[in-house]
Amino acid sequence: MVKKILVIDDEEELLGMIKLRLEANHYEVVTADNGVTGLEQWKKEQPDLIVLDVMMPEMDGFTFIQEAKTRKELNDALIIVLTAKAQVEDIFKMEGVKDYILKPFNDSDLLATIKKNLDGVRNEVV
Amino acid sequence: MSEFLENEIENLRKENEDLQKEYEGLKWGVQKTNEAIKTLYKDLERKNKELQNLDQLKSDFVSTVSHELRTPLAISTEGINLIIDGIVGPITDQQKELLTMSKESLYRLNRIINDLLDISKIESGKMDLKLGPVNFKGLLEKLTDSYQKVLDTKKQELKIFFPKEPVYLYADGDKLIQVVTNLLNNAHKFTPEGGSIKVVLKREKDGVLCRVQDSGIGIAQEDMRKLFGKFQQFGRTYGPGIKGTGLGLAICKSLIELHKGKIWAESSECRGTTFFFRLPGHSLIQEDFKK
Repeated sequence: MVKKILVIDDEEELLGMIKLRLEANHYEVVTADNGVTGLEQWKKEQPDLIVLDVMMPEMDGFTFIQEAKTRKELNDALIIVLTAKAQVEDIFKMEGVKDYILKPFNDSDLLATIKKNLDGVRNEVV
Repeated sequence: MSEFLENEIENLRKENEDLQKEYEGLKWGVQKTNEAIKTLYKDLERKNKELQNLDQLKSDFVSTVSHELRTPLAISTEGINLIIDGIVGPITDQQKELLTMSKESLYRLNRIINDLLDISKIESGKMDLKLGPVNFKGLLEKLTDSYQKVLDTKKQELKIFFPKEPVYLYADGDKLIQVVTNLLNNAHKFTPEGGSIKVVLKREKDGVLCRVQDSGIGIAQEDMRKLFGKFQQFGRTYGPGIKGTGLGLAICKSLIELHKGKIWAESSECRGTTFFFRLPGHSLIQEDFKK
Protein backbone atom coordinates (compact mmCIF):
# COMPACT_ATOMS: atom_id res chain seq x y z
CA MET A 1 0.00 0.00 0.00
CA VAL A 2 1.25 3.46 -0.89
CA LYS A 3 2.25 5.44 2.21
CA LYS A 4 0.99 8.97 2.63
CA ILE A 5 3.39 11.70 3.75
CA LEU A 6 2.48 15.19 4.91
CA VAL A 7 5.27 17.71 4.36
CA ILE A 8 5.05 21.00 6.26
CA ASP A 9 7.52 23.73 5.29
CA ASP A 10 7.12 27.49 4.81
CA GLU A 11 9.48 27.56 1.81
CA GLU A 12 7.00 26.88 -0.96
CA GLU A 13 9.58 26.20 -3.67
CA LEU A 14 11.37 23.68 -1.49
CA LEU A 15 8.04 22.16 -0.52
CA GLY A 16 7.19 21.59 -4.18
CA MET A 17 10.54 20.01 -4.84
CA ILE A 18 10.36 17.66 -1.84
CA LYS A 19 6.91 16.64 -3.11
CA LEU A 20 8.35 15.82 -6.56
CA ARG A 21 11.21 13.87 -5.04
CA LEU A 22 8.98 11.82 -2.73
CA GLU A 23 6.41 11.16 -5.45
CA ALA A 24 9.20 9.90 -7.69
CA ASN A 25 9.93 7.44 -4.89
CA HIS A 26 6.33 6.20 -4.88
CA TYR A 27 4.91 8.03 -1.89
CA GLU A 28 1.63 9.88 -1.87
CA VAL A 29 2.41 13.43 -0.78
CA VAL A 30 0.27 16.19 0.69
CA THR A 31 1.70 19.54 1.74
CA ALA A 32 1.12 22.53 3.98
CA ASP A 33 3.09 25.76 4.17
CA ASN A 34 2.52 26.51 7.85
CA GLY A 35 1.56 24.85 11.11
CA VAL A 36 -2.08 25.91 11.05
CA THR A 37 -2.85 24.44 7.63
CA GLY A 38 -0.57 21.57 8.61
CA LEU A 39 -2.94 20.59 11.42
CA GLU A 40 -5.92 20.85 9.05
CA GLN A 41 -4.18 18.63 6.51
CA TRP A 42 -3.25 16.13 9.22
CA LYS A 43 -6.88 15.84 10.29
CA LYS A 44 -8.16 15.60 6.71
CA GLU A 45 -5.51 13.34 5.18
CA GLN A 46 -4.50 11.12 8.14
CA PRO A 47 -0.92 10.69 6.85
CA ASP A 48 1.40 7.82 7.84
CA LEU A 49 4.32 10.16 8.36
CA ILE A 50 4.90 13.90 8.73
CA VAL A 51 8.02 15.79 7.68
CA LEU A 52 7.98 18.96 9.74
CA ASP A 53 10.12 22.07 9.41
CA VAL A 54 10.86 23.60 12.80
CA MET A 55 11.51 27.21 11.87
CA MET A 56 8.25 28.53 10.48
CA PRO A 57 6.33 31.77 10.89
CA GLU A 58 2.83 31.77 12.42
CA MET A 59 3.21 28.42 14.13
CA ASP A 60 6.65 26.89 14.58
CA GLY A 61 7.37 23.19 14.82
CA PHE A 62 7.38 23.13 18.62
CA THR A 63 3.97 24.77 18.92
CA PHE A 64 2.69 22.53 16.15
CA ILE A 65 3.57 19.38 18.10
CA GLN A 66 2.18 20.75 21.35
CA GLU A 67 -1.04 21.73 19.62
CA ALA A 68 -1.28 18.32 17.92
CA LYS A 69 -1.05 16.54 21.26
CA THR A 70 -4.22 18.23 22.55
CA ARG A 71 -6.26 17.15 19.51
CA LYS A 72 -7.85 13.75 19.60
CA GLU A 73 -9.05 13.72 15.98
CA LEU A 74 -5.47 13.32 14.67
CA ASN A 75 -4.01 9.89 14.01
CA ASP A 76 -0.65 8.94 15.52
CA ALA A 77 1.46 9.69 12.45
CA LEU A 78 5.24 9.45 12.77
CA ILE A 79 6.87 12.86 12.93
CA ILE A 80 10.29 13.60 11.46
CA VAL A 81 11.61 17.10 11.98
CA LEU A 82 13.82 19.14 9.71
CA THR A 83 16.14 21.08 11.93
CA ALA A 84 19.41 22.95 12.17
CA LYS A 85 21.99 21.19 14.25
CA ALA A 86 21.81 23.44 17.29
CA GLN A 87 18.21 22.49 17.94
CA VAL A 88 18.49 18.72 17.80
CA GLU A 89 18.55 18.27 21.58
CA ASP A 90 15.47 20.43 22.20
CA ILE A 91 13.59 18.53 19.54
CA PHE A 92 14.28 15.15 21.05
CA LYS A 93 12.75 16.22 24.35
CA MET A 94 9.42 16.52 22.54
CA GLU A 95 7.07 13.62 22.81
CA GLY A 96 5.97 12.22 19.46
CA VAL A 97 9.08 13.10 17.49
CA LYS A 98 10.55 9.95 16.01
CA ASP A 99 13.54 11.19 14.13
CA TYR A 100 15.24 14.22 12.68
CA ILE A 101 16.96 15.31 9.49
CA LEU A 102 19.64 17.95 9.76
CA LYS A 103 19.32 21.01 7.57
CA PRO A 104 20.59 21.53 4.94
CA PHE A 105 19.64 17.97 4.05
CA ASN A 106 20.38 15.95 0.97
CA ASP A 107 17.95 13.73 -0.86
CA SER A 108 19.47 10.43 0.16
CA ASP A 109 19.29 11.38 3.87
CA LEU A 110 15.69 12.43 3.49
CA LEU A 111 14.64 9.28 1.66
CA ALA A 112 16.62 6.95 3.91
CA THR A 113 15.20 8.47 7.10
CA ILE A 114 11.64 8.32 5.82
CA LYS A 115 12.02 4.72 4.70
CA LYS A 116 13.66 3.63 7.92
CA ASN A 117 10.88 5.07 10.02
CA LEU A 118 8.07 3.78 7.85
CA ASP A 119 9.67 0.33 7.97
CA GLY A 120 9.55 0.58 11.73
CA VAL A 121 13.27 0.72 12.29
CA ARG A 122 14.15 3.44 14.74
CA ASN A 123 17.08 5.55 13.60
CA GLU A 124 20.06 5.07 15.84
CA VAL A 125 20.88 8.35 17.53
CA VAL A 126 24.61 8.99 17.38
CA MET B 1 79.40 83.05 64.22
CA SER B 2 75.76 83.88 64.72
CA GLU B 3 75.79 85.88 61.52
CA PHE B 4 77.16 82.89 59.71
CA LEU B 5 74.43 80.71 61.18
CA GLU B 6 71.74 83.21 60.28
CA ASN B 7 73.04 83.29 56.73
CA GLU B 8 73.01 79.52 56.61
CA ILE B 9 69.45 79.45 57.93
CA GLU B 10 68.43 82.06 55.39
CA ASN B 11 70.04 80.04 52.62
CA LEU B 12 68.38 76.87 53.77
CA ARG B 13 65.01 78.62 53.92
CA LYS B 14 65.49 79.87 50.38
CA GLU B 15 66.48 76.40 49.25
CA ASN B 16 63.44 75.06 51.04
CA GLU B 17 61.22 77.56 49.32
CA ASP B 18 62.74 76.70 45.97
CA LEU B 19 62.24 73.04 46.65
CA GLN B 20 58.67 73.71 47.72
CA LYS B 21 58.08 75.61 44.47
CA GLU B 22 59.69 72.86 42.48
CA TYR B 23 57.57 70.33 44.36
CA GLU B 24 54.40 72.29 43.64
CA GLY B 25 55.42 72.52 40.03
CA LEU B 26 56.04 68.80 39.84
CA LYS B 27 52.81 68.04 41.72
CA TRP B 28 50.91 70.14 39.25
CA GLY B 29 52.69 68.32 36.42
CA VAL B 30 51.87 64.92 37.88
CA GLN B 31 48.25 65.93 38.38
CA LYS B 32 48.02 67.08 34.79
CA THR B 33 49.70 63.89 33.59
CA ASN B 34 47.29 61.82 35.67
CA GLU B 35 44.35 63.69 34.23
CA ALA B 36 45.71 63.23 30.74
CA ILE B 37 46.20 59.51 31.40
CA LYS B 38 42.65 59.23 32.73
CA THR B 39 41.30 60.96 29.63
CA LEU B 40 43.38 58.72 27.42
CA TYR B 41 42.23 55.65 29.32
CA LYS B 42 38.59 56.65 28.96
CA ASP B 43 39.20 57.28 25.29
CA LEU B 44 40.81 53.88 24.94
CA GLU B 45 37.94 52.18 26.78
CA ARG B 46 35.44 53.88 24.53
CA LYS B 47 37.38 52.89 21.40
CA ASN B 48 37.67 49.35 22.69
CA LYS B 49 33.93 49.18 23.25
CA GLU B 50 33.35 50.55 19.77
CA LEU B 51 35.65 47.90 18.32
CA GLN B 52 33.88 45.16 20.25
CA ASN B 53 30.54 46.42 18.99
CA LEU B 54 31.85 46.51 15.44
CA ASP B 55 33.23 43.01 15.77
CA GLN B 56 29.89 41.78 17.12
CA LEU B 57 28.14 43.55 14.26
CA LYS B 58 30.43 41.86 11.77
CA SER B 59 29.83 38.43 13.31
CA ASP B 60 26.07 38.94 13.45
CA PHE B 61 26.12 40.15 9.87
CA VAL B 62 28.07 37.14 8.61
CA SER B 63 25.87 34.76 10.53
CA THR B 64 22.58 36.33 9.37
CA VAL B 65 23.67 36.62 5.76
CA SER B 66 24.92 33.04 5.72
CA HIS B 67 21.64 31.72 7.09
CA GLU B 68 19.71 33.78 4.58
CA LEU B 69 21.86 32.42 1.74
CA ARG B 70 21.18 28.84 2.68
CA THR B 71 17.52 28.66 1.68
CA PRO B 72 17.91 29.89 -1.91
CA LEU B 73 20.96 27.66 -2.17
CA ALA B 74 18.99 24.64 -0.99
CA ILE B 75 16.22 25.39 -3.48
CA SER B 76 18.65 25.80 -6.41
CA THR B 77 20.49 22.61 -5.52
CA GLU B 78 17.34 20.56 -5.13
CA GLY B 79 15.93 21.89 -8.40
CA ILE B 80 19.07 20.89 -10.28
CA ASN B 81 19.17 17.51 -8.57
CA LEU B 82 15.59 16.78 -9.62
CA ILE B 83 16.50 17.48 -13.25
CA ILE B 84 19.78 15.53 -13.15
CA ASP B 85 18.01 12.54 -11.62
CA GLY B 86 15.55 12.60 -14.52
CA ILE B 87 12.54 12.96 -12.22
CA VAL B 88 10.93 15.67 -14.36
CA GLY B 89 11.83 14.13 -17.71
CA PRO B 90 14.78 12.81 -19.72
CA ILE B 91 17.83 15.04 -20.35
CA THR B 92 20.76 14.78 -22.76
CA ASP B 93 24.30 13.93 -21.64
CA GLN B 94 25.46 17.45 -22.38
CA GLN B 95 22.65 18.95 -20.31
CA LYS B 96 23.53 16.58 -17.52
CA GLU B 97 27.18 17.55 -17.70
CA LEU B 98 26.40 21.26 -17.49
CA LEU B 99 23.97 20.80 -14.64
CA THR B 100 26.47 18.65 -12.77
CA MET B 101 28.98 21.49 -13.02
CA SER B 102 26.37 23.90 -11.64
CA LYS B 103 25.60 21.46 -8.85
CA GLU B 104 29.27 21.13 -7.88
CA SER B 105 29.55 24.92 -7.75
CA LEU B 106 26.51 25.14 -5.52
CA TYR B 107 28.01 22.53 -3.21
CA ARG B 108 31.17 24.61 -3.12
CA LEU B 109 29.15 27.72 -2.29
CA ASN B 110 27.52 25.76 0.49
CA ARG B 111 30.93 24.79 1.87
CA ILE B 112 32.06 28.41 1.77
CA ILE B 113 28.97 29.49 3.66
CA ASN B 114 29.50 26.77 6.26
CA ASP B 115 33.13 27.81 6.67
CA LEU B 116 32.19 31.48 7.00
CA LEU B 117 29.61 30.59 9.62
CA ASP B 118 32.17 28.54 11.51
CA ILE B 119 34.76 31.32 11.41
CA SER B 120 32.24 33.92 12.56
CA LYS B 121 31.15 31.62 15.40
CA ILE B 122 34.76 31.03 16.43
CA GLU B 123 35.64 34.72 16.31
CA SER B 124 32.65 35.76 18.38
CA GLY B 125 33.41 33.03 20.92
CA LYS B 126 30.15 31.24 20.15
CA MET B 127 31.64 27.98 18.91
CA ASP B 128 30.71 25.57 21.70
CA LEU B 129 32.05 22.06 21.91
CA LYS B 130 29.58 19.29 22.60
CA LEU B 131 31.93 17.24 24.71
CA GLY B 132 31.43 13.59 25.43
CA PRO B 133 33.32 10.33 25.35
CA VAL B 134 34.56 9.67 21.81
CA ASN B 135 36.14 6.50 20.50
CA PHE B 136 38.68 8.36 18.43
CA LYS B 137 40.16 5.26 16.83
CA GLY B 138 36.70 4.06 15.77
CA LEU B 139 35.91 7.50 14.42
CA LEU B 140 39.10 7.55 12.35
CA GLU B 141 38.44 4.05 11.04
CA LYS B 142 34.94 4.96 9.86
CA LEU B 143 36.15 8.22 8.36
CA THR B 144 39.11 6.78 6.46
CA ASP B 145 36.96 3.89 5.30
CA SER B 146 34.34 6.17 3.78
CA TYR B 147 37.04 8.49 2.39
CA GLN B 148 38.56 5.67 0.35
CA LYS B 149 36.10 6.23 -2.51
CA VAL B 150 37.25 9.85 -2.80
CA LEU B 151 40.88 8.74 -2.95
CA ASP B 152 39.99 6.14 -5.57
CA THR B 153 39.15 8.93 -8.00
CA LYS B 154 42.88 9.75 -8.13
CA LYS B 155 44.06 6.18 -7.52
CA GLN B 156 45.66 7.27 -4.26
CA GLU B 157 46.64 4.68 -1.73
CA LEU B 158 45.55 5.06 1.89
CA LYS B 159 47.72 3.60 4.63
CA ILE B 160 46.47 3.60 8.20
CA PHE B 161 48.41 2.90 11.37
CA PHE B 162 46.19 2.79 14.45
CA PRO B 163 46.77 1.29 17.90
CA LYS B 164 45.17 -2.13 18.54
CA GLU B 165 42.99 -1.03 21.43
CA PRO B 166 40.33 1.72 21.22
CA VAL B 167 41.39 5.27 22.08
CA TYR B 168 38.82 7.18 24.09
CA LEU B 169 38.79 10.93 24.28
CA TYR B 170 36.59 13.42 26.05
CA ALA B 171 35.95 15.56 22.99
CA ASP B 172 33.44 16.79 20.40
CA GLY B 173 33.32 13.96 17.85
CA ASP B 174 31.71 16.03 15.08
CA LYS B 175 34.40 18.69 15.33
CA LEU B 176 37.16 16.09 15.18
CA ILE B 177 35.55 14.59 12.08
CA GLN B 178 35.54 18.10 10.59
CA VAL B 179 39.26 18.54 11.30
CA VAL B 180 40.35 15.16 9.94
CA THR B 181 38.10 15.48 6.87
CA ASN B 182 39.67 18.83 6.13
CA LEU B 183 43.20 17.44 6.44
CA LEU B 184 42.25 14.50 4.20
CA ASN B 185 40.73 16.88 1.62
CA ASN B 186 43.98 18.84 1.53
CA ALA B 187 46.09 15.70 1.27
CA HIS B 188 43.88 14.38 -1.54
CA LYS B 189 43.88 17.67 -3.41
CA PHE B 190 47.63 18.31 -3.29
CA THR B 191 48.79 14.77 -3.96
CA PRO B 192 49.13 13.68 -7.60
CA GLU B 193 47.45 10.67 -9.05
CA GLY B 194 48.83 7.41 -7.74
CA GLY B 195 50.31 9.05 -4.63
CA SER B 196 49.83 7.84 -1.11
CA ILE B 197 48.25 9.24 2.03
CA LYS B 198 49.04 8.01 5.49
CA VAL B 199 46.93 8.44 8.62
CA VAL B 200 48.65 7.59 11.89
CA LEU B 201 47.20 7.60 15.39
CA LYS B 202 49.49 7.22 18.35
CA ARG B 203 48.72 7.07 22.02
CA GLU B 204 51.04 9.24 24.06
CA LYS B 205 51.67 9.69 27.74
CA ASP B 206 49.26 12.63 28.08
CA GLY B 207 46.97 12.25 25.12
CA VAL B 208 47.04 11.30 21.48
CA LEU B 209 48.98 12.36 18.42
CA CYS B 210 47.36 12.13 14.99
CA ARG B 211 49.19 12.58 11.74
CA VAL B 212 47.93 12.99 8.16
CA GLN B 213 50.79 12.65 5.75
CA ASP B 214 50.73 13.02 1.97
CA SER B 215 53.20 12.49 -0.82
CA GLY B 216 52.06 15.63 -2.59
CA ILE B 217 53.52 18.82 -3.98
CA GLY B 218 54.42 20.19 -0.55
CA ILE B 219 54.31 23.78 0.67
CA ALA B 220 56.96 26.43 0.01
CA GLN B 221 58.91 27.44 3.12
CA GLU B 222 57.73 31.07 2.89
CA ASP B 223 54.10 29.94 2.91
CA MET B 224 54.43 27.76 5.99
CA ARG B 225 53.95 30.55 8.53
CA LYS B 226 50.76 31.71 6.80
CA LEU B 227 49.41 28.19 6.66
CA PHE B 228 46.80 28.49 9.41
CA GLY B 229 45.74 32.04 8.53
CA LYS B 230 42.37 32.99 7.10
CA PHE B 231 41.82 33.10 3.33
CA GLN B 232 45.18 31.56 2.56
CA GLN B 233 45.50 29.30 -0.43
CA PHE B 234 48.72 27.95 -1.81
CA GLY B 235 49.60 25.94 -4.85
CA ARG B 236 46.09 26.10 -6.25
CA THR B 237 45.52 23.64 -8.97
CA TYR B 238 42.73 23.74 -11.45
CA GLY B 239 42.48 20.02 -11.88
CA PRO B 240 39.86 17.75 -10.39
CA GLY B 241 39.35 17.56 -6.66
CA ILE B 242 37.63 19.49 -3.97
CA LYS B 243 38.09 23.22 -4.29
CA GLY B 244 38.80 24.94 -1.01
CA THR B 245 37.71 28.13 0.67
CA GLY B 246 41.02 29.15 2.24
CA LEU B 247 39.39 28.90 5.65
CA GLY B 248 39.75 25.19 6.34
CA LEU B 249 43.03 25.20 8.22
CA ALA B 250 42.15 28.32 10.22
CA ILE B 251 39.01 26.49 11.35
CA CYS B 252 40.99 23.30 12.09
CA LYS B 253 43.41 25.26 14.24
CA SER B 254 40.62 26.89 16.24
CA LEU B 255 38.76 23.61 16.71
CA ILE B 256 41.89 21.83 17.95
CA GLU B 257 42.75 24.73 20.26
CA LEU B 258 39.20 24.70 21.66
CA HIS B 259 40.02 21.12 22.65
CA LYS B 260 43.16 22.46 24.33
CA GLY B 261 45.24 20.69 21.71
CA LYS B 262 47.85 21.82 19.24
CA ILE B 263 48.11 21.56 15.43
CA TRP B 264 51.16 22.08 13.24
CA ALA B 265 52.66 21.02 9.92
CA GLU B 266 55.92 19.99 8.38
CA SER B 267 56.56 20.10 4.67
CA SER B 268 59.20 19.98 2.03
CA GLU B 269 58.46 20.97 -1.53
CA CYS B 270 57.85 18.11 -3.92
CA ARG B 271 58.10 15.57 -1.09
CA GLY B 272 54.82 16.09 0.67
CA THR B 273 53.27 17.60 3.74
CA THR B 274 52.46 16.18 7.15
CA PHE B 275 49.88 17.67 9.47
CA PHE B 276 50.08 16.79 13.14
CA PHE B 277 47.63 17.44 15.92
CA ARG B 278 47.92 16.51 19.53
CA LEU B 279 44.94 16.23 21.85
CA PRO B 280 45.19 15.90 25.61
CA GLY B 281 44.02 12.57 27.04
CA HIS B 282 40.65 11.75 28.50
CA SER B 283 41.51 12.41 32.14
CA LEU B 284 43.49 15.52 31.32
CA ILE B 285 40.58 17.24 29.61
CA GLN B 286 38.16 16.16 32.32
CA GLU B 287 40.37 17.66 34.98
CA ASP B 288 40.45 20.90 33.09
CA PHE B 289 36.70 21.03 32.89
CA LYS B 290 36.24 20.36 36.60
CA LYS B 291 37.96 23.68 37.36
